[in-house]
Amino acid sequence: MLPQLASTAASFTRASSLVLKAGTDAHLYDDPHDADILRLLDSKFDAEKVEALTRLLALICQGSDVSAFFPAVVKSVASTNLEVKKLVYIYLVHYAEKRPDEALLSINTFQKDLADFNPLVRAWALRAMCGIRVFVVAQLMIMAVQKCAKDPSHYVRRCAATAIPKLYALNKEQYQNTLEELIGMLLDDKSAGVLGAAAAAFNAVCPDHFEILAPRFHEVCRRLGEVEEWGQVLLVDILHRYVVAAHGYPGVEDIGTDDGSKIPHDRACLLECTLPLLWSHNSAVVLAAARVHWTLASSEQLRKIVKPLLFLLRSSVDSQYVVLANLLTLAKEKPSLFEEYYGDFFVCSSDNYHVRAMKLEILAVIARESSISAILQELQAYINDPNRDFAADAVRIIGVCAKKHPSISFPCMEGLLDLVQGVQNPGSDQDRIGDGVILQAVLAIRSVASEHFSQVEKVFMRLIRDLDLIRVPAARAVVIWMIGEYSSKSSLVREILPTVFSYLASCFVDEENESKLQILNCISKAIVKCWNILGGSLKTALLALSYILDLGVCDVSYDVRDRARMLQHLMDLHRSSMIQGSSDISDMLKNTCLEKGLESDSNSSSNGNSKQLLRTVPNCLLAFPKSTSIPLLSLPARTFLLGSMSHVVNHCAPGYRSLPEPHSFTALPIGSTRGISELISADGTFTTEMMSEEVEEESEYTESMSSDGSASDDSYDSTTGLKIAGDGFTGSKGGEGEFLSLNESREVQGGLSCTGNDVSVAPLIDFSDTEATETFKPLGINEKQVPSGQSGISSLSMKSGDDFELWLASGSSSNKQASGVSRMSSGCLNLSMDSIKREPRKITLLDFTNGEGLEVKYSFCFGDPTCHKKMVWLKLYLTNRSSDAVSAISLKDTESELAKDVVKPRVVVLPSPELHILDPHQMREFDMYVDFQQQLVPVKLAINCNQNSFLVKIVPDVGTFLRPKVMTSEQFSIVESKLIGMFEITCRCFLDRRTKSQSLAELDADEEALAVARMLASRILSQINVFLVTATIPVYHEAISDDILSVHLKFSGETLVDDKLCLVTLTLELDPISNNASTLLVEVKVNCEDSVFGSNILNRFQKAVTEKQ
Amino acid sequence: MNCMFLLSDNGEVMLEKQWMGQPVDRSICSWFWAQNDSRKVPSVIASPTYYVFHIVREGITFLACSKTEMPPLLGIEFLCKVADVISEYLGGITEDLIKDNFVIVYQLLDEMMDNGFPLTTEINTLKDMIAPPNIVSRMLSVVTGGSSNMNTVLPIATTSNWPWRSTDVKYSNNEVYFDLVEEMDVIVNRDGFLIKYEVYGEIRVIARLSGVPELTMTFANPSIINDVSFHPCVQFRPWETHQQLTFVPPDGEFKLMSYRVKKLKNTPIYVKPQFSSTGGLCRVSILVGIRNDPGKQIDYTTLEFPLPSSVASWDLTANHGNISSSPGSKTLTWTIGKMPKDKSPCLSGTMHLEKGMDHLEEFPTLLVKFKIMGIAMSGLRIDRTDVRNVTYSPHKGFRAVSKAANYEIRT
Repeated sequence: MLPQLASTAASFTRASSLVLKAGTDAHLYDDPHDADILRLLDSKFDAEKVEALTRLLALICQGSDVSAFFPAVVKSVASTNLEVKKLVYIYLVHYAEKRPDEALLSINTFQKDLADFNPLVRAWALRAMCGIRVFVVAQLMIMAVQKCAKDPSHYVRRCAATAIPKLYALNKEQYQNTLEELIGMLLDDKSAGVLGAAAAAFNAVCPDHFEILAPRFHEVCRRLGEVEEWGQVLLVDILHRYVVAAHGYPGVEDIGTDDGSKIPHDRACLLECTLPLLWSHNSAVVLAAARVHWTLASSEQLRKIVKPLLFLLRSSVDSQYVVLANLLTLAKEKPSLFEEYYGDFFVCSSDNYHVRAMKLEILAVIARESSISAILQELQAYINDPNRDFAADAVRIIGVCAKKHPSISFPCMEGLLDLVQGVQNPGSDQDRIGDGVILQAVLAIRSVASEHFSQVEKVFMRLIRDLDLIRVPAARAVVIWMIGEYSSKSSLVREILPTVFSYLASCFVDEENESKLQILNCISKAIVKCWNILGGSLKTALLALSYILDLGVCDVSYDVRDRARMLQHLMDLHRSSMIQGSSDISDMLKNTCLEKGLESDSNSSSNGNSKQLLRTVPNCLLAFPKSTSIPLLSLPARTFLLGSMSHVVNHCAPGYRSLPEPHSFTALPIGSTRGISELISADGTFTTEMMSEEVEEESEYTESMSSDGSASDDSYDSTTGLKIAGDGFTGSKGGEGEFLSLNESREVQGGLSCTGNDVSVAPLIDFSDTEATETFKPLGINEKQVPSGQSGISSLSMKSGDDFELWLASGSSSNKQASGVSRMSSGCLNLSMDSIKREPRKITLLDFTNGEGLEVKYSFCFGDPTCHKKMVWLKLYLTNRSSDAVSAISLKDTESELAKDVVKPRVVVLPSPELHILDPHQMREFDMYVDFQQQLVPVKLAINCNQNSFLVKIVPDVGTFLRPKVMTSEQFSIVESKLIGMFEITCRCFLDRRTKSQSLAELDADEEALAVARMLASRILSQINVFLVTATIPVYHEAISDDILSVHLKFSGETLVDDKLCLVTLTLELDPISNNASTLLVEVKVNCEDSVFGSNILNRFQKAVTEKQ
Repeated sequence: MNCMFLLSDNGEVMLEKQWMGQPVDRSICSWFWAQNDSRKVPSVIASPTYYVFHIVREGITFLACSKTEMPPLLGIEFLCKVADVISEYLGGITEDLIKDNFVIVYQLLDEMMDNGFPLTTEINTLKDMIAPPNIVSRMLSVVTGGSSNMNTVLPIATTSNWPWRSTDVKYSNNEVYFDLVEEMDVIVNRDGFLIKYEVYGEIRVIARLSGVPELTMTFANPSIINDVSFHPCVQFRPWETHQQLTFVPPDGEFKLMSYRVKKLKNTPIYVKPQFSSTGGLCRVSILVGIRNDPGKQIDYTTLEFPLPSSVASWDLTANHGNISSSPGSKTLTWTIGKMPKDKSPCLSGTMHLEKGMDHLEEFPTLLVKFKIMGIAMSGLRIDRTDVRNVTYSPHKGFRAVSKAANYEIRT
């Protein structure tokens, strides 16, 4: 009976909708300005007020600015009509930030409404009051939230919990403790809805304060199922962090802690309570729960997450893309989990391109002998897809599979060859098959050939035979390259070389540049490699070569001309030496070292040493890209936490937090048990996906894997950093001549060298005084030269930093005397920070206990490297701690070997460590250059020595993706004024006043400004590779003590990869009134042409500034 | 989450709602629309300034921005929830409906999220707080000139153990209806082999029961179910131990469970396409018929495929149903309607290729749609349902319907 009713109702609605159109809000949306809104707002009748407010709402919806009505609307706030009230609240919250003064007028009403008997009204009032975000009433808000957190209505309590992050955003420091107390209380709330909102507040206010959570852990776990879905996502995340921080990962450390039943218990409790969540309707909940199991569950238990995750692909289609991105990471790590479910990754016609690409890659990863035939059949079907990009991807994946599974490589090759020849669609045009598809097919053949050439030899012969049919220039070039490459390996290929050469020579003129270059290479290469075995066809080859060389030197393209000329000379020499029979080519091939450059050798050739030169011939011919493996699709490796935004977009999103350091939290007094587990974990013996890094003795620090995560527990003993603040000012020798501004004096190269143990002697102060009546001139500063009348400078003796501070103290007092009549406005001191040492931290790459005596450390270098400008510069320290010599040391990038066509290596080490032998207890330094490509993805290296190989990771630091950009402060402000709007981001952070050496609060403002500026500069410069443009501190006057004085530090740099400018300004306001506060507010402003990078660097700066000493 | 925009199908911003202090400029929408030109943007992307989520429902784009790290699925699921709620309130999602009811939509968005975190998203609770537009209220508004869709009292505090249900629900007629809605996903390859045949199903429940009833539901053949997901009301233990659903239902309509049955064998219909082309002419013949009679009428049958780009014109006839094509999208639709039992519908004829084309290179994938009322194609059967904890015995109703969802035949 119900359906009938529904259908009649529906038809009735349809029929009456025309009639009732008048009753809808459509006319208000279409013509909101139709009526006099102001008049309506002032009306006595609620209905008219509602109409006016509705019209305003329509304008807000459409994006117009109607803040001009603010005063009129505020008047209506006291209305007793709930509908008016609600609409007014909506309006107020929307515009309060723009009109804070008028918004204050409504505070009284809010306060009254907070005491209303209707819980809905109380909740509205609370939401509106906290929503207007007006700083001055923060105290009132706190009280309101405290009151509402104890409200009998759970809805109001829930709104109170939601209001906590708003308050926190308003003033981060002041209310921290109060808010944490409130959160603790709300986490105990008996209503599940409040618990979810409290979790959100916890995440916003104090995500690392697990002591709030610890006593409630089991209770929260137990109630997880009752919480609504959004809260579940956040709660699971918090509980996960807590378990990791308190108990670490399962594995090695559990063995030693059998008696500590508490530890596995917490973990098991979380695992058990998240198990039902895997059946949630909400994909976010399933993924959050799956992440917990992924990191904490044993491998047998892990299977439980597979089916729920796969089901998400069907049950929530909108989440498909994100789920697949996560599945891809899981599948790469543990392909066995997904092996049998390959059918779920078959592409269907409604999938969009991104989803398809992801599915293809997963298929390639999880393919096994048992499933490969079915997968291959499916991939073949994709080749006919109308989307040619997708078809090309499918072909590429076929190549990957064929290489991985030799059993299918032969049929695959046949199929690919058919594709290239167009046999599948006889008579069809290759244009229709698609350039990309052809190219990928040829590349796939090449990649399989590199591994199993004997299997594909026949296929390759056919490919050569059909070379004329291939019209895609890139594909032709690849085939021609293969001819040259395999001419020495295959006798079959050699047999047809004469025919091929004459064909290539004949079509040379009509080729594209790409193919022309390859033809030149191919023939030269074949001649050099097979000089002795070519026999009769050598003549044809030489003839063909001289023909195309003749053509080549007259080519329109200078690339081709250059190549042809070079080859012409080399081949002449080669031929003459061959005819003399003075050397044996095959020997020479063995001896040649690819590392040797062409230039140095050709210099020696001027001495007429043709034998030397000969070595270069094969060199230059063989030096063309050799790597022939195919990467999977161009999807990058993702290292961020599963289920996070950063994981999907593959860069560090602002606010990203990686999992906490295992065992970083201790609340439970477990005593000896914990001690043991810590010892074991500190030994780096557990191998989870977190990088194991050992605590080092010399410079103690721990670093989480993602260097950008706001792991606040990063503590490192920066005696070096503080030293600068202490006695960094070993300043300029007074009277040594003219006073240079630091920009001119600074030497770009070398001056910034991180190893700089020598303190460069640089000018110390630059005075710039804007409106002063007594002008400080940047003259030579020498006690003797100072005119006695200028009392301000008279005491300027700058032998040391202490003297300088003395001067500041006396200077301010003497200024006060001098400026008795004419007030001096704030002068500025330009500080030179050249004396600041940049002491890089050394990070252990390979511990000598693991590395059989070889210890490898690295540190990031600051400054501008002399070579490899696009790469990150590191210093590598190799120490032999064993009693035997270590030899044959080499470093290899494990990933770039797999990558396609590596023109430039990702990792360069200079001088090459292979040449050295490390004697016992010897240490050597190497310069290393790594190309991170501006991604926070660790580079995996294999360190080989004494026939052992160790896998290590170098974790990038955003701060090193920059290189210093030298500029003057004028240039700085010009550029800064251009990079505004979207390119400008700011944030505020707090600096602890109490540093290690002295309490800043004890100093007076001038000294403090100086000390703070120095400390900040040293912190930044020793962590981030930027140029310090200017550092200005104010000269403090009592006469203007009500002003807020600010310290400005300006840094500039440009990104390594694409030379985009990045300017950073640190502003520190020293308010002399609130001198007793324990923290200082620092505003960080980044102007960067690349705004994504900008937000990353902003985080990095923030971290560098707030870092706990 | 900072803000949300509703975009019409031509990229116009219909509605914006800001949740955080600093408003997000709506220029992000035009940025997004420029990216979205080919409708190929993944559901989460990073713009230079924000992370942008979007989903599309009936041509309307729901777009949300976030400035900071947040679980991306949380954003997407929230947008889905918003779309579901709006659709439920307005009886559909169209540009006109949203503009007509923008006040309600705005209030809903205001209530569903506060300061970037979801507040009230349960549809039944929302309905108690913001009344959906209905005939009665519209009538009243026309007559009285006022329009109020706001309830002035908070829904009864749900202090019970069941956040999704209040304790004092009362009905004079107690009734509960179960709907099995199943969708078939089929892939048949060009050789006619079945690559994939699985059924995705949902059990939707309309519960109008007084008090706090506890329902149990058992299946006759639970072992065929491959994957499941449940409404939070379903208890975990009974399902894990003996595949029994035990739950205290929310009041009103809800989705109790969704499930998947994989590796099914016998599709209800067969489709045999043939495309053979020579000399610029392509012969087409598509045969459709009943393979395994489900015992119920196969209805609303349509078959559609994109015309290959090389086809210049076509001349196709069918012995049953009619053929139409939309000129814009180049898609051919063959509407069969009720599947005849006595004969096999057949579409045949020729397609002329463009000049210079000899053969057809890309072969279209046929998409089949149909609906079978009164049967669950997965074969899942509800064995019995019991209502406990109440004194009355409610009226129980069961229905089933099967639809073809991704039913594709490769050629």
